[in-house]
Amino acid sequence: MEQIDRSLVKRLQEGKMTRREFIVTAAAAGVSLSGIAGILASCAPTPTATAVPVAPKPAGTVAPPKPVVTDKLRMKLRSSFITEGNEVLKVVAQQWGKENGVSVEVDLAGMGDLQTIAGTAAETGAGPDIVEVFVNTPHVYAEKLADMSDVANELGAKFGGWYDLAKEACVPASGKWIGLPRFYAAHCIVYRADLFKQVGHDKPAETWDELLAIGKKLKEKKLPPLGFSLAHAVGDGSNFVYSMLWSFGGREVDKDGKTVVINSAETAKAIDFVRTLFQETMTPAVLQWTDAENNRAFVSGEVAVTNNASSIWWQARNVQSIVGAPKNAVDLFNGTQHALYPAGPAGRLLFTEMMSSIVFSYSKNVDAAKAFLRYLNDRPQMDPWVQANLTFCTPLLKGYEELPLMPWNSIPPLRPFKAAAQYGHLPGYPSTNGRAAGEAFNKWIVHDMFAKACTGTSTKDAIVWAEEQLKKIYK
Amino acid sequence: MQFSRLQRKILRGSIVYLGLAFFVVIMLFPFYWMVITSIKPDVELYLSKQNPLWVFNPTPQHYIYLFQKTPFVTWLTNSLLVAIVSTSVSLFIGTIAAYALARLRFRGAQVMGMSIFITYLVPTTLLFLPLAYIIRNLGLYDHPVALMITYPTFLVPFCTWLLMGYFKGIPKDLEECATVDGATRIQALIYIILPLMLPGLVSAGLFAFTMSWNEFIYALTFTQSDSVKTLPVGIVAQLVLGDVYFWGSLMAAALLGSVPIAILYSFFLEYYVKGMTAGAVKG
Repeated sequence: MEQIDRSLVKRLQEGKMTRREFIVTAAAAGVSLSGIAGILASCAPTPTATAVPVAPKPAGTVAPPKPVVTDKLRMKLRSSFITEGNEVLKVVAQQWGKENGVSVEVDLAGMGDLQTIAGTAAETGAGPDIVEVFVNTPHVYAEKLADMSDVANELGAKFGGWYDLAKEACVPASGKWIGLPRFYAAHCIVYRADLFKQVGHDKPAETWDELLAIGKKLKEKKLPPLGFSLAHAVGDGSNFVYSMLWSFGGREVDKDGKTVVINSAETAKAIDFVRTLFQETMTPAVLQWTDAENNRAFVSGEVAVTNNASSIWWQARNVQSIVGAPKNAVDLFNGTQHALYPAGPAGRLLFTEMMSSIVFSYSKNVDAAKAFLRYLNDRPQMDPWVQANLTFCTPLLKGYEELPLMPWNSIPPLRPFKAAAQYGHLPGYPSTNGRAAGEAFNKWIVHDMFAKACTGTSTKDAIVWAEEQLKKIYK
Repeated sequence: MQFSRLQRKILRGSIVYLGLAFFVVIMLFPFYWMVITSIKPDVELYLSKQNPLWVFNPTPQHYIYLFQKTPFVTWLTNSLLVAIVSTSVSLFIGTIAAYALARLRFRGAQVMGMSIFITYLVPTTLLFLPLAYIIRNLGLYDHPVALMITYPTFLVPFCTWLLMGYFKGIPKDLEECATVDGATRIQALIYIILPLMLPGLVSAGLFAFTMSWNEFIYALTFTQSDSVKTLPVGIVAQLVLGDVYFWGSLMAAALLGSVPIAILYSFFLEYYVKGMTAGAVKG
């Protein structure tokens, strides 16, 4: 085994094998996942990456009984833009199936497709045993889901407790865990430090007002503008509009989960600010931006600031690493920095893209699904996956914050992503009425309120429109 | 001003060919864009200050990724299989249904014909939930047969509706002559009517095949494994990851995915055009 290990590592180090090929081959050769994680860390492309401490196996634990699976255990999980991370998931699932003598089928899909699949499964009572769903979605299917409290409490106790955000997603008023928080995509402001310097700023903006001032200077100097999606972009667009609303003190609904409170002076301030930011600093294309468009615009050098997970940095790094890449690609990557979201008058509050694993109670494999999720979320399986995903997939467990293997601890440009979940909230905050909040989110009410205000509707009319829409939901 | 005959000819030819050239450019531009995007290196896709309509350093990397890192060939095979089976089944059912509705005089034929047309207009997004119940009860989730039996739900009404028009366009006398000569109704249909209907059958078949080929929502919800997925679902699942689109490979997949359709159309173009214009020249 050691020999296989060494030959594989050598090929990986010499660049004769991609990281993805390494994961697949090493797993097939019987190398443990923690071993794979360690090797990947030692061969990481960034010079600052450190070796991963292999999580020790708890001593003296009694092996649980093997799970029983009818047919096969099917799961639909969210894909990451980093294919090595996806490979880890597949390897983990197959390894668990092999260890337990059961058939496992793992399929990866995008966020939108997962929502459709979960909806169909909930309506028809057929489909995968485990599905990963976005933000408040577990609340929408609450009564159709298996109780995950035992697994959630166990993991919480083992790994430093859950962030409040995790509870917002998976714990309704009943106090029962209806889903298992799986990961969040840590978000930051992505900006061009080289362009900031040209307008006299050595540091990123601490507040939204500061960012507005920087944006105006960029525009005056005819440098690339700012860009935050004001369209139906489920990830980056939601991050922007909800974060703006909350950071200025606005809320959709009160804590009771019934009273619509969007018609407030705070919401009006948020709208007025976003309109100014849009008119004076942004590219008008943001009104049509999907989640992919801000990546493309930033990596193409069309904008100087946007909000995103680590995918822009990853794309810029890939483009400049191509042999013969032009100087502008290298300059762009070197100038790309991350920063915490600026604070608003009410503080720093972020909409957070997160996924939870849900198990439908129609499944004949509820116990096996729970056993698998316990295994999947344990350190030996979690570590290589988290490490490969460069903060795009981060556990919602506080115990991970300081681990050296976390990309934000091992890769300096990713440091600002650290523990972003502490600022995170979900639609409907501060209420626990996740079902209504999920519906409001799916109808893009907050997104459209801001977009309307930026395209000619008065602040008052945009708020009244949103209030009417929300009242139909929070009846 | 007087134009000579030659000048008039040149003028007319110029207008015709300029018009045609305009439409050819419009029609072919998406394919051109797919081709150049699929062979552009990432640096040119994102950061090139050169002409975006040209490729300066073509690369096969996106095609290599497509064939080596994704089960593209499996998806293509699945799409072909599902499209061929569902189109054949739908054409068969559509032909006999259209014949019955156009030729046989029975009570409610007109209402039924209209109902079939209305069924065709119901969007698949409304039908996929009830169909999902049926698929679950049949135990066909994640099986290609699930698609082969659900696609005819929108293909049969379409084929029936299209073919009804063709049946009505063929004089009844031909069929009656065959019957006088001793042919049964089925024989008259097979030996007399269907050969005359060939352009119509080709048109309906081509449309049905294209609709199966492009279908997304049923394929997304009724299948799960890579070994069962069809091309549109497979491409989106593996080449759109989070907010990162693998544009080069996406365009390579879209381009290669359009090849079977292009081949079919080029083979049956003559029939297809005849089929399309059949209704226009009938008095």
